[in-house]
Amino acid sequence: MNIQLQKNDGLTTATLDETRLDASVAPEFKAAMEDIILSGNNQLILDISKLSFMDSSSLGAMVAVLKQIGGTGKMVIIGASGAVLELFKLTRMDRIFTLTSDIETAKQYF
Amino acid sequence: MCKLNINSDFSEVRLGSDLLQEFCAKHDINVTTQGHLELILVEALNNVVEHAYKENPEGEILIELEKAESKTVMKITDSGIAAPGTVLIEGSDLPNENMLPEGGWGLCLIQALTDKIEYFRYPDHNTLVLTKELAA
Repeated sequence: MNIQLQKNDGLTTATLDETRLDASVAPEFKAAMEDIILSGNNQLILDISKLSFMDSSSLGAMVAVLKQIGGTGKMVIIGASGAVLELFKLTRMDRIFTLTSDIETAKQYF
Repeated sequence: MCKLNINSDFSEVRLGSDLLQEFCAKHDINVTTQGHLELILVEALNNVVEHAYKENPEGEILIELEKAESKTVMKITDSGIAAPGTVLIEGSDLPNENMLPEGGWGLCLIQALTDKIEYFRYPDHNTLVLTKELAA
């Protein structure tokens, strides 16, 4: 699982360098994100702009990550588009996650 | 018609996606519809792997894709156990974050994106037929 981390002003941007998230890699994604959070990165921007496909098991992994961040941390997702954004909307998870189109807008949530 | 046999393993589901991409390119199906078809197909295949075969990778799944007039028909055949009744997710209240579901959206998504769902249980296999009308 390729996730690039960049830290700036107390914010961590995790860029998912994958084009597809599905059931075969969802557990790996979840574990990688849990490691990132446990390393002290709980003010998190997750950039998924490279994703062109994501299934519901991967969405479940993202929900687990959101739960792990909990009330003291925050995660904003940027770059969901096309079929990926539609998955969030169809499951109504667009009302649960904070979704933005760009990093500057995302920063305003912290 | 495009056909492919895969094993009941999550890592093989993406082969179904590859087949679908070839199918959509061949029939000039637009990107939005292709995205819907891929989500339907992947969720249905995930369900077969998880529920029909209980993640036993030795099971076989046959995928058949066909374009008939203005619709796409996707058939998925497996020799696993029969599917249980379908479940619709309803309601509008937002749950507490800690109570959020981490799964169970598969059937809901298939139902939302598919125009016709048929399920046939034969003595030794199951066939799921998913039909989606294509926009003019």
